[in-house]
Amino acid sequence: MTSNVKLTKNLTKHVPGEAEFWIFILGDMLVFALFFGIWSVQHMQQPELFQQGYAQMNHRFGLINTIALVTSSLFVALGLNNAKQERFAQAKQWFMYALLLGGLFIVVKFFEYREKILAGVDILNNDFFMYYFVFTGIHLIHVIVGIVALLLMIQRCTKPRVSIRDIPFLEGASVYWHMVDILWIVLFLLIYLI
Amino acid sequence: MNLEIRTRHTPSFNLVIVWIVLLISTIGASLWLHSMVAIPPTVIAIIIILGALKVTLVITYYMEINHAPIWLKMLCGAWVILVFGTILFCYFS
Repeated sequence: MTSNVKLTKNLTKHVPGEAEFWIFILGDMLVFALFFGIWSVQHMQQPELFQQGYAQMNHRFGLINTIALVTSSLFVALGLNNAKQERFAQAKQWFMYALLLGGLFIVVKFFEYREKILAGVDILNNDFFMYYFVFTGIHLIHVIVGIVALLLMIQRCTKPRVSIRDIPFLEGASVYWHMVDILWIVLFLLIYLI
Repeated sequence: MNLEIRTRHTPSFNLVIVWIVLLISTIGASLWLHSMVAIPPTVIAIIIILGALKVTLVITYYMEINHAPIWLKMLCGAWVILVFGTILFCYFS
């Protein structure tokens, strides 16, 4: 049986990845919207406690992680661009760079948690640190899942018969990684900036 | 068997420009805030709006929602308005 695969570019409208996958993405984003709402309401109700907690944060960790995720998002987008032009070797390289930055995020997070625990700060200290550990912890799980997705993207680009058939998967996984980036941008704003 | 893969992409140059804007706004906001002893409400409002713009840039260019159907654009836009509207309301009420 022969199969003809046609790549249609420059469409006016296109859903990145599979449309069904967006149910999961938007659902996850809604859950985090609830987290951001909880944080904001708690900040409104306990402004002094949140100011004290904010003063105890090491902003350098947050800034390094934001730069790492934003840059990894660029690398994923550049990798996807290469894949769409059927340059899978280059795409794989970009995805590997993004993977390294994802790894850096986890390492920085480890040192941040370690610093807090050594300073005697834990999840039971107060509401600020309870929400801090819970929300950043859930986000960290998303980063780990994103790293698995990046490994699968690299594996797809490595397989001998990689083709444009793999594009929808690469698009979906890229969307997931960008979502992880977006969620961190808001967490960084709430926990480290304001 | 015929299979059609539909796709579209944003030029790499645009992606790099977006990254530069994201990086400058992130580092700039961080340095600006930490140079102040007391942060005025207007600065907090600017930082929140800047955050909304950063998220919109990632959604538009990296997630490629600029090429998406209107229903997806509206859902993503509604999320941004919901999140940042809630933050602004809570921080300024």
